[in-house]
Amino acid sequence: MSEWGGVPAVRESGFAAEVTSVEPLVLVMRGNADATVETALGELVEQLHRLAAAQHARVVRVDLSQVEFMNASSLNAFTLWLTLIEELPAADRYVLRFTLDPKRLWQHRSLRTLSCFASELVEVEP
Amino acid sequence: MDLPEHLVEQFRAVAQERVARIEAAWAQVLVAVDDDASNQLHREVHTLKGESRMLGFTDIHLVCHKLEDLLEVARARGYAVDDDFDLSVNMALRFMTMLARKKIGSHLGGIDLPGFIRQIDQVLSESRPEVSRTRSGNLVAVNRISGAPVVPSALREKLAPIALDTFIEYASALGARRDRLRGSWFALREMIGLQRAIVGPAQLLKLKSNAHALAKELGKQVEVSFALASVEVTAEVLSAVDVATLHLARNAVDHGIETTAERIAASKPASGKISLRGGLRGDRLVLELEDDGRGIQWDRVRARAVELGISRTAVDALDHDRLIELLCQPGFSTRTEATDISGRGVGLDAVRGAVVELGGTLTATSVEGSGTTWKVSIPVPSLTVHGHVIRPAGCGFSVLLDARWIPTPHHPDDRVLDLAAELGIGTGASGELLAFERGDLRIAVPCERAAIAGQGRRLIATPPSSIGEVVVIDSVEALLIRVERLLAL
Repeated sequence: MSEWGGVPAVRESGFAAEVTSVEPLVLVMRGNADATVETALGELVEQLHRLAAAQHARVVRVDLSQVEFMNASSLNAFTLWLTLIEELPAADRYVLRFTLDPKRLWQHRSLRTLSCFASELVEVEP
Repeated sequence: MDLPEHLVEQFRAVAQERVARIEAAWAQVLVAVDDDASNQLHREVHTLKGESRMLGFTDIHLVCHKLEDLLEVARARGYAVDDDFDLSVNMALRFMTMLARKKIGSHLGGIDLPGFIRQIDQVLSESRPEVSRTRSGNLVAVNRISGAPVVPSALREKLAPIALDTFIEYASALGARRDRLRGSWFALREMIGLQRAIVGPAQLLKLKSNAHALAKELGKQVEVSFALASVEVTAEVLSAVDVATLHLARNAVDHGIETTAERIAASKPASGKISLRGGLRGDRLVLELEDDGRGIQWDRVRARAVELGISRTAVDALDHDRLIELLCQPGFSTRTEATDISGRGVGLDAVRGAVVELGGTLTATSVEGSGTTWKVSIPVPSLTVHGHVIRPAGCGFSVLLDARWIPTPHHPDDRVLDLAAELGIGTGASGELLAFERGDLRIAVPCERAAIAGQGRRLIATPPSSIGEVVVIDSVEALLIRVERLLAL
């Protein structure tokens, strides 16, 4: 397991998530995320959040363009993340800016739902 | 009116506990339809809805209301839901957790509740809008309730291998091709996927009210009792059981149970008794419906058989089992007049037809003056397969090997089974070999990770001659592989 900025990467079979840049913070995911990665992904998100909060980051980029599919339980990692951001003082909150593959319709559907959860904290790159 | 703070705080804590229980029950019903988990799921949401309204958490109340709608649809579909649906339920639960933490009347921040409600409505409108909302609290057979087209079993059998191929193509595809195939796979899954249901006291409750209403209409008294174990079945089996038990109970009231005066004259309790008992016996659902009425009048059955042209000699040679078979033939009735209640023939042929169509049997024993016991026996296919979950290299999806395969240390003589190559979707050359044995057969499958014990919920049944079928493992679709078919052994 490699790590960048103290945030361990998730490398389960068929799925990977790792921080590829610390300034700005960029999380890149690829492959298929199912229920088996939920716990590891949740831990990664918590550590990345701590790092983002410590850096007073304004934006964390999340690149989903290479993710084939994420099921509902693995998408829960993002709702956990948004909850953690919501718990920060308003001035310290940062935005999650997602990069999607325009051809993967599920990504757009899921992000639409996710943005309802915290519309001020979710952005999708055009 | 401001509520005492301690009450509000108590609600926040209780609400989050309820959400956790709802989440656990939702995960449970996605793995296997479980009547208890299903009931708990609906009960918890309903209770939370009531509590939130009472304490002024109107946003939670609204989400609960929509969640109830989602759960009704899911229940009607035997909890065979797609990813979007699962996501909506999960997000609704996340919403409720977040809303429970917020102060009443406080700014909702970035929460776009109306937008989320619109998305739920959209998911609902795409999910069988014809499914009628029921408050019965029971799992229902979707085909009967919804009026959705019932796919004939012959067509279903033809489409099942096509669905299997479509799943393999979809699950192994990438990018735009995967999105395109997703629609085809979902359409087939929707059309011929196994609809799960539960047969148990809750599902057959209407039989009681129906029998009571009919008895009242006929000036009779009847008590109906159940001694039933809940059994997970397909919706087709529930539908057949529904037809059979309802007809047989009505028959018992109409023809078996005597009037109060007749029963008193026969030294019987004034109120007749009908009992329905049974459950799973081996791989069959066996139900017995017994009444303590007048029993089948065998002489009248024989006389009717003669009327219909069977020779007296032949009729006299028929035993009770054969006479029961005659009684279940279309148009055979010992009634001299059709009744408004059940007509001539009283639907026994329909009962037998519904049961036999699923490979079942309908038999009866009867003693004149004492009553009749009808026995319905229907084979119940196993809806869950236990085994080993592996992730074959190069496949992009998990595979289930049934429990007859035993994990074993790899040996150089093992037959290497590169599933990606066998299925024509790639190569698993880079994988680590996991070995399994079954009798004399040993295989080694290139895999991405170690095998784990697991169970798959059958999604689309295929015949044993097929190389496999699609199952759901922990809410993720996977492939049950029949190795011997794949290797043409």
